[in-house]
Amino acid sequence: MIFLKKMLSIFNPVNYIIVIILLSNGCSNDLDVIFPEWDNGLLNSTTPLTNEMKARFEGIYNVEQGSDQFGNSVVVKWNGDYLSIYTGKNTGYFLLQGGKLDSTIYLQGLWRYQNNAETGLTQFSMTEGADYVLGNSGDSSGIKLKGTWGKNQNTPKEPVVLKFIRPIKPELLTNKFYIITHHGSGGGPEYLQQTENTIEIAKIIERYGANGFETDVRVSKDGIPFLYHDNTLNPRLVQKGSLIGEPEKYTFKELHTFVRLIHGEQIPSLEAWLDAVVTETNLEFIYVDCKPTAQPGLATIAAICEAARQKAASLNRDIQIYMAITTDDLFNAFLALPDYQNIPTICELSPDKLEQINSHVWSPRFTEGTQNSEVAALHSEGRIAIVWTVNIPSLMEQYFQDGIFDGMLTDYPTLLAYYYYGQ
Amino acid sequence: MECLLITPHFLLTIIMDNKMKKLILFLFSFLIIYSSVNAQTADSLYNLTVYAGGGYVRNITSFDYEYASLNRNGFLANLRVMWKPDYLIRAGFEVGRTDVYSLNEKDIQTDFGTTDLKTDVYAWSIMAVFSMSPFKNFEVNLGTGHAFTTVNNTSFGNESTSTDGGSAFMISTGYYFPVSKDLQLGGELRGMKIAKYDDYLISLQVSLAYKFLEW
Repeated sequence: MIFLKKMLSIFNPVNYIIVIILLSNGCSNDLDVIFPEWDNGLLNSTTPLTNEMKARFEGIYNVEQGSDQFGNSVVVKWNGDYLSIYTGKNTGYFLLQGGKLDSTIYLQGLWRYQNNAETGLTQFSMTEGADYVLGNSGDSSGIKLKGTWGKNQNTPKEPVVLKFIRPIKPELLTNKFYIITHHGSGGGPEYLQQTENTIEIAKIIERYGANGFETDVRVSKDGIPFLYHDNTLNPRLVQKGSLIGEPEKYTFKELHTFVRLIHGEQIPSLEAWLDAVVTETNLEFIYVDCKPTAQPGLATIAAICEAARQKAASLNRDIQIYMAITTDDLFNAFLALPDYQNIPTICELSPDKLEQINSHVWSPRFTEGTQNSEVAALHSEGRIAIVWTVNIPSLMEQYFQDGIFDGMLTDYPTLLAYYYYGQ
Repeated sequence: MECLLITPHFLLTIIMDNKMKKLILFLFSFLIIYSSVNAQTADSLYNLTVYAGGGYVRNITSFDYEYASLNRNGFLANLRVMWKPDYLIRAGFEVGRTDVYSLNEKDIQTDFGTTDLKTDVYAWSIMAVFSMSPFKNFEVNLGTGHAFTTVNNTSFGNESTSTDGGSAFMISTGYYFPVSKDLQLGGELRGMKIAKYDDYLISLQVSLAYKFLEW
């Protein structure tokens, strides 16, 4: 009898259910990402490269050494003062700054895999082909970037050699194709040096290949549109502080003053953020994603976007700023705004609804496929189409091969840049 | 058995590390099955016991930015009903309220001028609780469930309230001595994690346990 009772106990499923509940509860997925920095001052002794020099060595390179780490080919492209190298492999990239000293070009910075914590210091020098880049003589075929890479803050010792194959196709540089960062997150707020949806990330996101920015707008208790993605103030985005819960329950003064985002920034108002984007970046496309709770503030958001467009026009800034209508409730609320058909919008709903509010941009979900006939019809009407949110490498390739979209939203702009400029 | 004598404070510190947390949970789970297999063999009654307790709670969370007036101390109260079969393992549920932290700051300089700040944060929790009594009068409890955390914030002449829910986790040890046939008085040391907002709380409370039904 005792034996039977013991056997019943050990096979009692309740015991195992309890064990499963206990073992599955609450294990966090913390990721410690560092951003290594050089401190040897090498670049202080160099002089900056001109834009012409920079353009001469943008292109597609073969990875002669280091392909296990960075793949077989990479895209090399300048974004302002930063040279970005998009590797494709493991969503990798280099961010480098550089200059010339005598007849040699020096580059220093970091390499990273975007979707994990692997990173390290890296440096390059260019002697072969430098004459051509510096405008003295020769041609691009001899350009070679020789360097080293390492792990974390360690001195880089592993060799990496990149050999120039061809320039980026000119039409890819002149055509309007929008690489739009999905709220500037990089796949997660810990993966970039600044928190998503901030002025700080907008100022640096072009280094990662983006020329557009999708941002998330909510409206505070006192009616101020502000930038924040999640439904709650939670540890994914916010440092441990005094406020939690739904951000819309607080005034903008409270949010801006008492909330610190995970990299220490303050929550910006839409107005301040757009002003910084217009005046301090070269971003070309702004996708103002109105969250469903922003419905009472649509008129205010529209007015702020219009003011930013006017400021951009006064500065001759090439930038498109659109409000995105993302739900039926928002759509119905938008219809109540005066002169709504003349408010520049993105419509994520059906093409019929796009026509109804006269949206200039259609933005379908990536799962709907390329939809070439619908996109071609929009193109014939002078509209454009931007697909969201494409993070899968094979889909990026497929959409460039088979699709005719005018832009893509992505969490990995470095990867999208690799496939776009690598065509 | 010695592992169960670890204080909740220490447990809460080490469960911040996933490997240690899994190890503790594994040991606890092993003990549950081991206890079931080695259950009491003599016939005994089932009963339902209600525990009512209250006491002192302290927030031991590391804050990213900490106001000078941060008050980590507060009170908690809880009510637990446990079904006690003739195995060592028992099951039940618990509801409770606990202070989480509070702030009372004067003359803060901000981008919008000077303001006072008063913030009160508290949580209501409801949990499934599993318990065992490895020694006479001594109990170990492990709970998992949900906590609803509320913030009342007053600043800039405005009062705001926000509530949000998320998972919660509790471990406690208690010693109960009999006052009468059905009534016990005890002390309980516990740790609680409100996962969504990374709040770690330890508390020391006095509890009454009353066996209100048996069959």
